Amino acid sequence: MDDIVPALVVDGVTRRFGEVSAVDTVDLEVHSGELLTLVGPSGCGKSTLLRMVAGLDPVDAGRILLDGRDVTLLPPERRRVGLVFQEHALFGHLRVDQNIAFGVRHLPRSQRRSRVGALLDLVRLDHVARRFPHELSGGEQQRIALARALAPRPAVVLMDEPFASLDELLREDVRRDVTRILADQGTTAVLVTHDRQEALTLGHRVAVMAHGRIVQCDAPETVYERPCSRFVAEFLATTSLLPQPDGTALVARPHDLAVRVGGGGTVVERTYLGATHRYRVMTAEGHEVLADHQPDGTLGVGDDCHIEVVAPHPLHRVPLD
Amino acid sequence: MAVSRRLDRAPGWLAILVVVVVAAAPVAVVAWSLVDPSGGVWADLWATRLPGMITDTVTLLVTVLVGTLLLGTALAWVVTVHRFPGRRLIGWLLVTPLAIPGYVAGFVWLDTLSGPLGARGVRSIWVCAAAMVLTLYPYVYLFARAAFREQSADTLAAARSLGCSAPAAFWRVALPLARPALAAGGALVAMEVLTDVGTVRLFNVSTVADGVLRVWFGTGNRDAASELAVVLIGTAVALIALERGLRGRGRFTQGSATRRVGTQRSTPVATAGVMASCIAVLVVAVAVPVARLVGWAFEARRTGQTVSVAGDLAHHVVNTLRIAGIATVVCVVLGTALAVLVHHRGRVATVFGRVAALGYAVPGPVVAVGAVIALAAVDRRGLLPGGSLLVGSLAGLVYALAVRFFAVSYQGVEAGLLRVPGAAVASSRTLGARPWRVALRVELPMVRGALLAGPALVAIDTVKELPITLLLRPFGVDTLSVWVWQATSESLWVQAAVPSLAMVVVGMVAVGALLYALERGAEVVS
Repeated sequence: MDDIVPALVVDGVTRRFGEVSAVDTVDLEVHSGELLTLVGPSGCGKSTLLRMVAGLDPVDAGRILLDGRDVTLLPPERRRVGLVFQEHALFGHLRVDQNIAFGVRHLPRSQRRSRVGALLDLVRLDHVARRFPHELSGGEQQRIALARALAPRPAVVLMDEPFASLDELLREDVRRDVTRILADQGTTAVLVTHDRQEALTLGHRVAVMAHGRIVQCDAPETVYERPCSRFVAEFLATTSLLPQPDGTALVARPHDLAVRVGGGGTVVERTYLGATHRYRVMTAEGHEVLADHQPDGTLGVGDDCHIEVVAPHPLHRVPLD
Repeated sequence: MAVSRRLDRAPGWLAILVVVVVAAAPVAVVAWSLVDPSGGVWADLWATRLPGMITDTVTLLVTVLVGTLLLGTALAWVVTVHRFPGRRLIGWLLVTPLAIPGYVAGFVWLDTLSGPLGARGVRSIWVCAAAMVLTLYPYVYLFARAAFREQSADTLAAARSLGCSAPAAFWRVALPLARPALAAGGALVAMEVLTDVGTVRLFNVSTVADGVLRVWFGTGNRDAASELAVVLIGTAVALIALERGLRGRGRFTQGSATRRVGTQRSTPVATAGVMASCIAVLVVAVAVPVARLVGWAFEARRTGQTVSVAGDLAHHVVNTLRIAGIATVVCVVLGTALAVLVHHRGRVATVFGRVAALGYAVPGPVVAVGAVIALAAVDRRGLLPGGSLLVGSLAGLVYALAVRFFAVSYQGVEAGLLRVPGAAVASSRTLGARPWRVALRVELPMVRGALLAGPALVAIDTVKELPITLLLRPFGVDTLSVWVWQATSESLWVQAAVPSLAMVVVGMVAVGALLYALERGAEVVS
């Protein structure tokens, strides 16, 4: 794999707003055909990074390479980057087919027409070709926005919170469609989201960002099971940290723990989740932890209890600060 | 919407009908003259002057439209996307030419070009068009700026990523998306051109509007004037149809856009260029006219020309403010009341509202001629108590002005009310407020931006209005605009300067109120 040029290389890229670095010497590689999710709390710089890759925001330091070409100083129209936004940003004055054809104006008419047809086919929306964007549902609009971005065969498709404006029922379907389409076309893509579930489910790899830096970038299983820091552990899932004498802490998800009767701890709160009960427990050592446990009706708020690790694997360890 | 939004019904419908009938009467009267043509005069006009009038009208209309669209759109775009020192202030100042009547800019430049600059052939249709462009472009500018401000930066970013350079993104996306706004601004400009009688007279351009006035005052043939006015209605209808057509099927607003078109960093050269262009426009459209007016005003003071035949400056200012004030109050009260009444009554009522608001889409000379004929009919039948007459009364003048301009406040309030969230109305109803109380306490306060903008626009329009004032003013009651009209028709620029300056000052105050209202409006309804 070493001799293959990555589709996107971000090399020491920085963006400053006055004293603050919104993006701080970020390094990132995205491989051809890969879907990388960029996840972090709001204000962590993930959208700014995306905009710099697209050429919409200037780069204060570092380089951006697309298919090996240095595009750092190129304007957006010469980067071959596809963009998909939360609000779809379709052109309201153009029909759906005209929207898709927007970026392939240079092609001869017949090729243009077949390209638009193929993309409408791909997103399964042939029947809306002659409608206007406002006549479509949110999910349809998003698929058209993707088709429009794919039409000029971009080196990479950048998606900024593409599903955030869709309602929850629809979001699931559109997500599945979008990942199918991207995989179908072998498209390289970066998807920015603040939704950790979305990042873990969709990404071939997940880059976790905080305070302008990428703190961990690995396969979803890795970032979830072996987070490199307390922040990553707590950001990606509901987590209880069990402090150890050596200054580290064990990372425990609620399903890694079980509640047992007796032992000096106290049940602080019990929440019904359907399949399980979630207990908030103050341990005898004075730590608050969360544990999911089959509802067997024996424990209630105020009861004496202790926590037992039931995970089938040893718990992962992170530095405590 | 489960909450019933109906006001107490019957009296409201009656009120709507009365307003519609009264407001539409002058236009209906003029249109009616087509049914019973007088023959002789018409044939005569057609054989002699009418073809020329139509040619001049169309030439002027097209030239001014192209000019205002180019200038207004370009200025709105650079002010929206470029960051430069004083951008906010310049953005506001670019609206101020609205306070300068076209005929004032006209005579100032007529004298400046032929006098100090020594140019020849100044009394031409092209210079006339230029004077109009300089005073009318703010209509396009205001609409275009609002449209550009509303556009989503993401949309432009998408266009860039799809291979458009920045200029290409403007031409292929930003401009087409602003098309309805440009059409609306252009429609206002077109109406002003069709209405104008002051500027064209200065430059010896014989338009149809000018012809209506000449026939009226020259031959006293009311039927002929009325028939000629029908040509203006026809043109206006064609323009409205064109404007509707330009809206197309697309959806141009991007209400939910998260990221607005922002200002971009520009190169020093671009910044300097943008600033220089904006300042150049302000110099030509505002600074030179005001400076020359001030100079003339001092000369007039020195030579004792500050009095017209009808009296001194104070007399004219008082008349102007009184007429504009009363007309503005009438327009705002009627416009707001009608908008509130119509708002809750569905489609039929909306159509009635549009009919009542027709006056603004009808050129001034038509309203003037129609109002005189309609009022004279009332007078002839002696319908008013005590034998008082409407023609030549202050009431008659205010009536005609209201017919022409009340649409301005009506449409503002109507558009504002449509943006009031239904939930706000519903929740105040469930809190026990009766419908009229909801209107007064919730809906109208929420659209107060539009409520303020309406009167400001009406005041600007009535102060510089000419054809209606000329035809309907009571004997001995002269306004500033009439004074300027009389002085300029005899090329007495020095004498015209004092009332012109007074008009500009009044206009500037109104423009200030308008800008304040627009800024507040943007904050309130968002």
